[in-house]
Amino acid sequence: MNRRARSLLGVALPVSAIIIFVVLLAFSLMRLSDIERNMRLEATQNMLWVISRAHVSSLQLGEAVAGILAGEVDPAGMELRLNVFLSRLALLDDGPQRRRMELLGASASLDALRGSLPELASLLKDAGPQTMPRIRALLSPYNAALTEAANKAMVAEWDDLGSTLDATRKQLWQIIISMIGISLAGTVLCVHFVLAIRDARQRTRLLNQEKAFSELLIGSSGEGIIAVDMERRCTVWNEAAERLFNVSAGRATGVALGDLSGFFEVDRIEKAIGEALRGGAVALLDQPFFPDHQSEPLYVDLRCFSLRDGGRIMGTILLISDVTERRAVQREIADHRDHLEQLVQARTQELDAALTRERATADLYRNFGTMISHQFRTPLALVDSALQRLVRRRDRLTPAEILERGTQARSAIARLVRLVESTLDAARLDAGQIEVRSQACDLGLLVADICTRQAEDMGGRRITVTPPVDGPPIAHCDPVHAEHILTNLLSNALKYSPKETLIGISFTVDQSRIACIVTNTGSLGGALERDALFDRYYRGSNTEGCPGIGVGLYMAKALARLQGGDVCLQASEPGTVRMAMVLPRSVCGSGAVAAASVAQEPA
Amino acid sequence: MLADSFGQAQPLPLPSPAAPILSVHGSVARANADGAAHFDLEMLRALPATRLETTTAVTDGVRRFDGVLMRDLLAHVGAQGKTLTARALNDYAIEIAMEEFDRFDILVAYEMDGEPLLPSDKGPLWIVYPRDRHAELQDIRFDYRWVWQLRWIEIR
Repeated sequence: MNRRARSLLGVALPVSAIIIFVVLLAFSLMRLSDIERNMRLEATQNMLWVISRAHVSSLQLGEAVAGILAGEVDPAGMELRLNVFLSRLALLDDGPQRRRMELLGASASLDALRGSLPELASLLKDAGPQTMPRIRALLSPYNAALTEAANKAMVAEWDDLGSTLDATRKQLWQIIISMIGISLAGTVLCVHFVLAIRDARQRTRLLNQEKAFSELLIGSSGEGIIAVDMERRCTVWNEAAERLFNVSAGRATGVALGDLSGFFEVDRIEKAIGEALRGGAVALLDQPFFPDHQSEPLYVDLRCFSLRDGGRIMGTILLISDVTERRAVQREIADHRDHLEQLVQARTQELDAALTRERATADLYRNFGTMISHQFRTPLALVDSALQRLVRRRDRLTPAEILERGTQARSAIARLVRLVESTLDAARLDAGQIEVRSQACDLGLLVADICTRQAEDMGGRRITVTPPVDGPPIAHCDPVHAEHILTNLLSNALKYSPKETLIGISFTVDQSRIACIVTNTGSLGGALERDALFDRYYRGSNTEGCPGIGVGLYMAKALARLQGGDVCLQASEPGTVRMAMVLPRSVCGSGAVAAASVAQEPA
Repeated sequence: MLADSFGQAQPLPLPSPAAPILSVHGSVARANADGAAHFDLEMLRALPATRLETTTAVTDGVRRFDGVLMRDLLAHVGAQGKTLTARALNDYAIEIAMEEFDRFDILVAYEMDGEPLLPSDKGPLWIVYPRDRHAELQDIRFDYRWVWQLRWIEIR
C-alpha cells in the first residue's frame, strides 16, 4: 500500500467510523425516546377498573333499593349509593372515558341510561315493591353493557399492551443492533486511536532521539555555539562556550549576553549580533578576545545567523571558533617566509659577488694576456733582433759590436726574468705563501739605502728626501716587504714623471701610524683610472712605452696590508701624484692604520 | 389537655357542623365530635382559599379549582402523623405520605370552574394535585391519589 492511500485510509476510516457512531447513537436515542414516551400510562388505560367500579356501584344501588324494601337501608344510605352510581356514570361520560366507551361500543346504553335518569330518580324516591321491576329494567341493560364493555376493555388493553410490548421489543432490537454498530465503530476508533498513539509515541521517541543527537552534536562541537532570543538572552550555551568564556551553561541560560562577557559589548560584536537579529548573516574573523582568566588575548572567528520560525525571526545563533593556534601558525609561516626571503637575498648577494669576482678574474686574465702580449713580446723582439743581426752580419761584426748586441739581448732577457718574478710574486701572494716578519724598522735608513742601490737605474734623476722633524721614522713592519713597496713606488715615480723633474720623499707621523709619501710630477686619468690603479695587470693610460706588467702597485698595496698598513693615492695639487705607504708605528697601531687607509681609499 | 399537648395558646374550639362533608380522624389536636374534626362547606370556605388551574387525568382541558390547601387544613386541625388515609364515599381508600403536602401545593377542592362539586359527580371534595406545575406528578402513581367524593381522612 503506497503512502498516499495509507494516509487517505488513515483519515477516511476514523471519519467514517465517527459518522456511523453519531448516526447510530442518534437513532438509538430516538428509539429510546419513543420507548420512554410509550411507557407512560394514562388513567384512561385503566378503563377495566373504571368500568368495574361503575358496574359495582350499579349493583350496589340495586342492593340498596332491595335494602330499603327490607328496611335495612335508610334514605341517607340510599342517597349515598345513588350519588356513587351517578358519580361513576358521570365519570364514564367525561371526555377521555367517553371516547374509550365509544371505542368499546358501550356508549349507546350509557346514553339510554342517562335519558332514563329522571325516571330512575323518581322511582328511587318512591321505592316500593311495585317499582322494583322497572328499576331493574332500567339498570339491567346498563349492567349488561358494562359487562360487555369490561370484556372488550380487557381485550383492548391486553391487545394494546401486547402491541406496545411488540413495538418496544422491536425498538429494543433496533437499539441492540445500533449498539453493536456503535460498539464496532467505537472499536474501530479505539484501534485507530491506539495506533495513532503508538505512532505519535514512536514519532516522539524519534524526535527525542534527534533532539538528543542534536544536543550531543552541539555539546561535542569544538566550536562555541550560543543561541539568543530577540532580547539577547541566552537560550543555548554549549560546552565549548563554557570553556571559552569560563561560564557554566546553567549560569548563562536566560542571562543577557552583555552580562556574561565583555566580548559581547564590543561595538562591532554588538552590531554583528544586531544585524543577525534583523535577518542578516555576519562573519567577523580574527577578533581579539581577552578572557578573564588569562592575560594573553585569544583570537576568535565569529559567525552570526538568524534563527527563524517560518518567516518570523526568533533570535540568532553565534558560532565562535578559537583560532589562536591557527593565527600563531600563520604568523610562524610568515616569519619563516621572511627568513627564507632574507636567505635568498643573502644568497643572491653572494652569487652577485661571485659573479663580480668571476668577472674580475676574467678581467684579470684579459689584462694578463694583454700584458703578456705587450711586455713579453718586446724583450723577445729585442733578443730576436739582436740575434738576427748577429746571424746576418756574423762575418763583419767586431767583438765590441757582438758584446753590445749580447748585452742588449741579456738586458731584454733580464727584463723578462723580472716580469716572470713579479708574476710569480703576485701568484705567491695570491697563494698566501708570503710571510711577514714585522719588527721595528727605520724607514729613513731604508729610503736612503734604496736610493743608493738604485742610483744607477735612476739615470741621474734627483730625489729629495725630507726626514721627519721629531726623530727617525720608526715603523713596525717587515723591512724586506717595506723595501719592496718603496722600491715599487719609487720605480713608478721615476717611470711616470718627466726626467727633469724632482722626486720627493717625505714622512708624516701621528700617534699610531707613519706614512712615507713619494711625490712626483705627472698626472693620472679620470676617476675610473684612479679606481683601477691598484688592480692587478692594470696599466694606466700614461704607461705607453714604459715596460711593466701592472703588478707593482697591486703588490705594494697587498704587502702593506699584510703588515697592517696600506698604500694609497693621496689628494694633491694638479700635476702632482702623491703615493703614500702607511705603516703602523707599533703592534697595536696596525688596526688604526688599516681603518684610516680604508677611509682614505675613495679619494 | 389539648393546650398541654401542643404547648400553645388555647385553640379556639371547632364549631360543630349540622351536616359534615369531611371528617378528620386520628391524630388531630382539634376536634369537635368524637375525637374527630368534622367540617361542613362553610367551615372549609372559612379557611384560606387557594385557586389552582391544571389538567386532570379524567377530564378534557385545563380546569380551574378552588379550595383549601391540604397542609392548611391539616395545620388547622393540628394533625400529627406520617401517613394520611383518604377515603371516598364509595370506600375507595388511598394512603398518602404527609410530607407530600409540604412538597406540593395539594388542594382539597370544593369548586371546579366556579361550580360547586356535587356528590353525584366528583364532589363534594376532590384532592387535586398541581399536575401541570410538576412533571413528576404526571404519573399514574400520582393519578390514583386524586381521590374524588372525598369524605373521610385519617391521620396516623
